[in-house]
Amino acid sequence: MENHIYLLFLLFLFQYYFLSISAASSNETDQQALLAFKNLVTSSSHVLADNWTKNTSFCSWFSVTCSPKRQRVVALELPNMQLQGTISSSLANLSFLSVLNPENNSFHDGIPFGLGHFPLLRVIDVRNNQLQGSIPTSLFQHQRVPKISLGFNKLGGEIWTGPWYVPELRALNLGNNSLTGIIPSSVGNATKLINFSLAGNRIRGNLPKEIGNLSQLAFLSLYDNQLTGSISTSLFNISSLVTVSLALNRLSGSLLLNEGNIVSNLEFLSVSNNQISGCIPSNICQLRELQVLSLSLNNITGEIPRNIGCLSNLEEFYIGDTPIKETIPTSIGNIFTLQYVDCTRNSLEGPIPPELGKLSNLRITVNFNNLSGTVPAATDLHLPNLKLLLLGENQLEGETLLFITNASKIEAVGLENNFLKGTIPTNLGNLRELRGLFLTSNQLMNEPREHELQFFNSLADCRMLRYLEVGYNPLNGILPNSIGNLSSTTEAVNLADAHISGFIPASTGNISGLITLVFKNNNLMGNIPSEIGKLKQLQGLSLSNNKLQRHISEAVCHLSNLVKLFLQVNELSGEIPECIGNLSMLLDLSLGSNKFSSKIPLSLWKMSGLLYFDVSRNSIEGEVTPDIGELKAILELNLSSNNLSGVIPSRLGELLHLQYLDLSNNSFSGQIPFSFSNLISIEYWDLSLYDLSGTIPKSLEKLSYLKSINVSYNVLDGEIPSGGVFANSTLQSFVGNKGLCGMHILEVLPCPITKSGQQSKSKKLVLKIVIPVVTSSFIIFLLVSIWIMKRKKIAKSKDVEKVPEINTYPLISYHEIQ
Amino acid sequence: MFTINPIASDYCGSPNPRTLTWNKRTHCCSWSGVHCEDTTGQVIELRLSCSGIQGKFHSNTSLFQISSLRRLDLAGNDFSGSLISPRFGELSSLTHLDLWRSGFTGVIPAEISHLSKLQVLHIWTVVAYGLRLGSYNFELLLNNLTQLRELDLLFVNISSSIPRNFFSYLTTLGLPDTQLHGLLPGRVFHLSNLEYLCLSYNSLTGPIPSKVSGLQNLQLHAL
Repeated sequence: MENHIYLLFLLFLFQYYFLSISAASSNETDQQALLAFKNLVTSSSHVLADNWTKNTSFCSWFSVTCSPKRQRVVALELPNMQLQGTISSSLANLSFLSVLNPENNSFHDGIPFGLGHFPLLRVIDVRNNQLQGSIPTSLFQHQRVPKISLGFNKLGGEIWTGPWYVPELRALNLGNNSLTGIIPSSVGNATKLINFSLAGNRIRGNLPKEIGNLSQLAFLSLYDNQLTGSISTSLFNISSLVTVSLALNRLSGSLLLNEGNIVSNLEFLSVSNNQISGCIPSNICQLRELQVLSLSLNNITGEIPRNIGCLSNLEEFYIGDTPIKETIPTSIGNIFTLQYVDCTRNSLEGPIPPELGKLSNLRITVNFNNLSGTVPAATDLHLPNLKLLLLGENQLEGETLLFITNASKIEAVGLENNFLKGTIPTNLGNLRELRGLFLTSNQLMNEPREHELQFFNSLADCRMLRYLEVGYNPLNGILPNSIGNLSSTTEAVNLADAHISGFIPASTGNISGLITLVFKNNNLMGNIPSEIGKLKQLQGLSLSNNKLQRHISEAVCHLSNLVKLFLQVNELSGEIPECIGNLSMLLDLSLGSNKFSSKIPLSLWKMSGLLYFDVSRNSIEGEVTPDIGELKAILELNLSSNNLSGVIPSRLGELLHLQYLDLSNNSFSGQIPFSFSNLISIEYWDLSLYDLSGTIPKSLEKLSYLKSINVSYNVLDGEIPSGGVFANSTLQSFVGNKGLCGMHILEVLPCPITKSGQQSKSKKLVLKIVIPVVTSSFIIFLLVSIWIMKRKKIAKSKDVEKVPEINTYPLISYHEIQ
Repeated sequence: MFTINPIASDYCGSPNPRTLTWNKRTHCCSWSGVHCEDTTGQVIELRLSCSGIQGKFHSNTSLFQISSLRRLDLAGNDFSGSLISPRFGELSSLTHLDLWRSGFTGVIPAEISHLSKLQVLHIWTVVAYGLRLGSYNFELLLNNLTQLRELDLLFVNISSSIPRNFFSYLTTLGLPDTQLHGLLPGRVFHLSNLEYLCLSYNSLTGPIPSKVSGLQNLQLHAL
């Protein structure tokens, strides 16, 4: 190899030596090269067009630096100039170029290949453009270049696997491109490398152990690739390392450090989202400067090392989504720098160590584990400094939540899905920083002997509150008017399934920042207060499964940001307000199981963004107008169990995204529109229980997503199509009709083939019917012939033409079958 | 004395601010970038390239008292406007000196040629700083630094001819655009260890010997 390099650079010498003495290149060449470069560049500011003119020496042009004596271009620095275009290959004529920096522009197409041969090149920085093509391989053999920065482009192709020989390289940034290939072991030759990034590419293969030779390496960024194999222990022997990011790869094996003393300055280590197995080594203490340790989303087993407290500079520790077990080590309480611990979805057991209470500014998340025991009593755990405590989805018990009230700095408390009993404290107002209170799915109650939900009174003092999730608890009580005093920062209030009775207080309309309001599955009664209409930010309103009465106030139509409106299973009555069509953001409207009467307002069919509409089980009357074809986005439409009449508009066939359609149990008449065969997305279809007549359009066989169809109890006749959904349908889908027939469903008798228009022309039918007919005819002919010949009475016979008809079964309705 | 500029450098990408982690709680031999001799415990290497160090490099800096220093790498820091102190010549144990793009300006002092053990000398600068070698210093350099293996001086104004007799251990000789003139000594082509040679953009004259093994065709091609 040495010989090869020798030859290569002798070539260098000769090329430029002779160019120089023969004066073949000159500053005129440079001017022409720059002008050619300018011609391929555009920018809104016209900076190059205005400034790079022949009136002045190119050495005085903006962004150009010349060598003072020779007047040759040595640097072209054009960062952040909103330039567009291509990097002209004429730059390859700037033979003195040392610095090329057009970073943060919008250059596209390729990097000129000649650049890597410039003997003076020291910096190429084209970061953050839209360059395509491959990387000039000569860059990986430039003996003097210290900085190659090509990140955030669209470069592709394989990383050069030939020998890298870049002994002066300090920074190699190729991150966020579309590069493939492997990291060659010759990367170990770049012994002065400090910054090395290949993040966000599609690099495969192992992490070569030669990376351990890069004794000056400080920042190694290889996350988001397809690297496999294990992480060499030699990596952690590099004492200059500061940051190692290997997340989002397919690395496996154990995370191991060499035995014996290593000097480490590593501050950031992330191997999350890989397939790392084994235990966390207890000698991880060697990484004594570690500030961030991220191991989440791996197969790491065993326990969190008991001595984890040795990492005395640790600020963030992520171990979530690994099958790590045992208890939370008490030594965590000794890491006074700790700010964030994430143990979501582990298999941690046992109690919460009270030592955590010693830590200032701690945010800890232990959701989805097997923690047990009692939620710490106030006496055990001094929490004045705790900032975040998320313990949801565990098996924690406890009769009191009073301990929370000490945590005056706390930002969020999550104890949902545990076995907590007792009451929700009424002095939460001390928690001035509280942003989230998550207590859903426990057995929490209101203060005994109190009718109103008392805790709302004190929550009014939590002026930072954003999320209040206390549903799915047997709270038992009524909503106090003080609910309206909740901070205007409150975005979500969830009181679902909480044994709440009484009325919805009009003051609810004062929580002006609300985005979701969920009161579903309670015993609320009365009407929906018109003050709800003041919640201009509201996107989700769920009041379903209550006993709400009277009509929907038109104030609801003022909720112009509403996306979901769930009012089903109440006792609402009267008309659906016409103005509901003004809710242009609405995607999901559920009004089923109420007492709405009158017609569906025409404006509703104009809601071209609506995805889900359910108005089933009401007393809606009238016809469905052809305007229903305007529901262009609709996915699910349920109009069942009403008193709708008239024909089904054929424009329903325009709803190309429709997946679920239930029109059953109405009084529609007429025929199934042929246009239904255009409903290419349909999966479920119920047209049962009304007065449709005519035949089932055979074209419905084409609907390949249709999993279920029900046309039972109509007055349909004719043949059931045999393809598509019909091939797998059962009798249940067709019962109760006048005269449906078809061969493919076992219980249904076949249709007469003589009846034109109902004959299947499929080959199957030919085989099933025609062949037996022909065969049997032939056999009968044969028998008859033999019989005739035996009798010897008639010499000639025309009986063949009188073979009995075998296809004259009468049509039998399915009522009769049953 | 110096400040740390954590902003990415034109030549290094993100700097590694090693010196920020230096503190008296730990022995200096364990500090990042500091290497000590195993037996004596003396500091022998300071590798501080691209450490984001910024400020004036004064002659009275205590660094010059570390006479045991064999390797000093200050590349890619920002000592803008500082002169290369003649006191560099006191670091008589130095084998490696890397002042690559570190903002030094002015005349490279003749005292550099006192570093007789020097094997590697990298000095380059951006043009505007006008780093130059004093008259006759080049010859002095080549005469005294007999151990030199790598000599890389980019954009340094040497304004001299290449002396006929010089070191034979060279593996790297990079003197592009250094205003060399005169006859290119044929000896350059007989340095048996040479791996990298770049003398482009100078005003050298003379024949390229035809006896550079196997390269005759390449010469023609390059022309």
